[in-house]
Amino acid sequence: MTTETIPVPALVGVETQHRIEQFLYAEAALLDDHRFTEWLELFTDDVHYWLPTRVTRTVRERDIEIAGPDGAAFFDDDKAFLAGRVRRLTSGQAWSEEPPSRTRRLLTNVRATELDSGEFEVRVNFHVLRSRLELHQDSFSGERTDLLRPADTPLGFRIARRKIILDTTTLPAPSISVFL
Amino acid sequence: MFDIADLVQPDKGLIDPSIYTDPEIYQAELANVFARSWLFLAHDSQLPKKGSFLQTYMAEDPVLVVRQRDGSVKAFLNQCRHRGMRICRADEGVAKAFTCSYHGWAYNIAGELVNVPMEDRAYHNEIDKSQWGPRQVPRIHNYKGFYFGTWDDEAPSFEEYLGDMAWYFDAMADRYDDGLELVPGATKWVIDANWKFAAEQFASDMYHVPISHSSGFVALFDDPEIRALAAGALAAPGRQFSGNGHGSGFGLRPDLVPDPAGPDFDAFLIERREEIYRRLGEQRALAVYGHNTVFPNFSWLATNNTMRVWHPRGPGRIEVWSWAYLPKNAPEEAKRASRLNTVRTFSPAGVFETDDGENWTEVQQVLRGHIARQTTFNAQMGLGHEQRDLDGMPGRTAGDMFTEMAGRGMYQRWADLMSGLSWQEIAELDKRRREQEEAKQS
Amino acid sequence: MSTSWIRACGIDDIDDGEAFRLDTVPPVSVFRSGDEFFCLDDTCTHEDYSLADSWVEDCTVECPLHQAKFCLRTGAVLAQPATRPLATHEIKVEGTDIYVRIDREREEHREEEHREGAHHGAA
Repeated sequence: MTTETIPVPALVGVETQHRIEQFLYAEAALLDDHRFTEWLELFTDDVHYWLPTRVTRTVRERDIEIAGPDGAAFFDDDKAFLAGRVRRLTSGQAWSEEPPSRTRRLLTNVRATELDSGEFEVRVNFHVLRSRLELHQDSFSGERTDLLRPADTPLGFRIARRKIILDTTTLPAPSISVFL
Repeated sequence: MFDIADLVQPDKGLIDPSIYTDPEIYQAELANVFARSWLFLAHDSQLPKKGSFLQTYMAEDPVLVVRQRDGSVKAFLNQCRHRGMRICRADEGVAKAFTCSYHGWAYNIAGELVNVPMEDRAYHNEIDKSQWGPRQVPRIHNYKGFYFGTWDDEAPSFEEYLGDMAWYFDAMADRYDDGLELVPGATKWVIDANWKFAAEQFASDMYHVPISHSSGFVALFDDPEIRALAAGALAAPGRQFSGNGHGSGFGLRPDLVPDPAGPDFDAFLIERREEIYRRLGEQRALAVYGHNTVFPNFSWLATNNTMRVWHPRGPGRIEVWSWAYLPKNAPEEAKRASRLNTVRTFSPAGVFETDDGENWTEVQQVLRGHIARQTTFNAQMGLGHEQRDLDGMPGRTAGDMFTEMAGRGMYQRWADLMSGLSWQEIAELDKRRREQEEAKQS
Repeated sequence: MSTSWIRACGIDDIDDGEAFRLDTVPPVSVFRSGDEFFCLDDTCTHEDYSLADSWVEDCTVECPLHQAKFCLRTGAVLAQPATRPLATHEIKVEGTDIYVRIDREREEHREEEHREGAHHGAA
């Protein structure tokens, strides 16, 4: 393969890239700080928050290793159910998060593309570290594809779609009781 | 060495927690429990065409389950007979052959060795390929679309193994004329806990729901009044079944609806009401819709359409492999509602499931303690209140869903197998126990 | 050896990505890739396996045992561990019938040319 054949995404401007990155960092900070009610406000009412499962497949079927829209998923939420999760997490009775996990979200490789609609499709690599109670530790890594819609809010965007892909097939953790 | 009779005393409701931690006991379980029992392999809908395969496990043994040319299903050890590598490392798909990527021994979809590279030069044409196929699972049974297998020639037939549990299993497997299908893709995760905690809970434990899953109801319902109504279903009367190590527990529902899967699924149920009642009878259709385990490690929850295998991974770890099941040929919106109900409640991110993992992990961690794992557990809930054929529900039944009868039944079967008793001896023992219990009841 | 055309099968006997095996000696197969049909020797040149039950795609056939891959047009090896090409045979479609002509002498001649070519190439 020559370098000419590597697709080069249409870059967004430096300032836009900066604003998008700062938005994602701010969102991650709200989760790391357990400010779930404020975090929920970052999503549009028509959001789809989705983490499909994946399996190891043969080379001929690799294009379908990630489950489709009607397949098995870890998360497949609309805004109302995200709100339900937040209600649960703030209930004081969600035992997998009470006492709460300590999390650290690392976001990198932010690639933004502007769509004709004026929205931005943003792909980002993530590494979420979760520490619980005494020595329990989980590590979730993968890629997110967000659809960011410009909004008249201090942070400038709302999340209209989030697709999360984990690097694992069998999840090496007892639960995903945190948001990714 | 360990003495099983000292470790679990189901008649007294006593459990020595070392059964959850002892590596020696775990190795004995692989031999005496898992290699002798009927284990779930696959559902019909997972193997749609010739060559469709799944790679799964029977306890720790990797197994391939494959649809044959004639439509039948075979299962064999996923292990090359030359140096033992897995001959298939994909989780599922369609295959024309399985080839070990170490030295290239190749097997057809029936699990017959069809090629060893350099057969003439290296083996001098002296290898009898017919003798070196992967080890076949000798007995496979298709029960209403659910394939189970056992390594044990002496084990009873699958129907006999199920016993009265068939009546409860059918409430799920036989509910609709068109049968069931699984949502594509498996959800798999790891919990650092002994497999028996999970199997027992799904057999026997409605008791944890109001406390462990309190926040689940908060997630599902915004309105505290509706939330109280949903949680209030637990105040309704319920029943539990125990037999052959299996268990089922449920509340007595007044109607098929509202279903936890929501209005779109309700509409489907209302339309199919007569069909469901015709197949199961109204009483069973309404009641038998709760938690279930087929001994040793296959479980499902009717309310959440989730089924799973608890694959043991050492005394302190399980891999959960779970699937959502749907009524075949249901309208798309009903299927969607059902699938979302499963994902959102019972998956590693489900608002109910996450708290189960937390509990079992915590218990296992505590049992690292030398004193802790010698400190007897109480499994006495409902002890002495067992009945039979209550309200026409077959087998050993309890008049409440809040009991540990099915848990004690599971540990009884576990102890019988672990003691090395033959299937014949276990059947005779169970008969005597039943007679004694009936004498006491009358 | 017969050099006359023989009817192999009908075009509807083979789905896309499938093959139809003829019990000639040695056996040959008719492979279908898209709407094109090809006739080649059926036995993989790496190990002894029928290519009729193999992966046929994009005018290639790949043996499911060890992933040896051949060009359906020329029989050339496209992927190891095979090192020798597959013999190709003449094929024609008349109406809905597929005819093949198996001429082993022609094939031997072709193989000889291939070996010489390889030799010249190496030199």
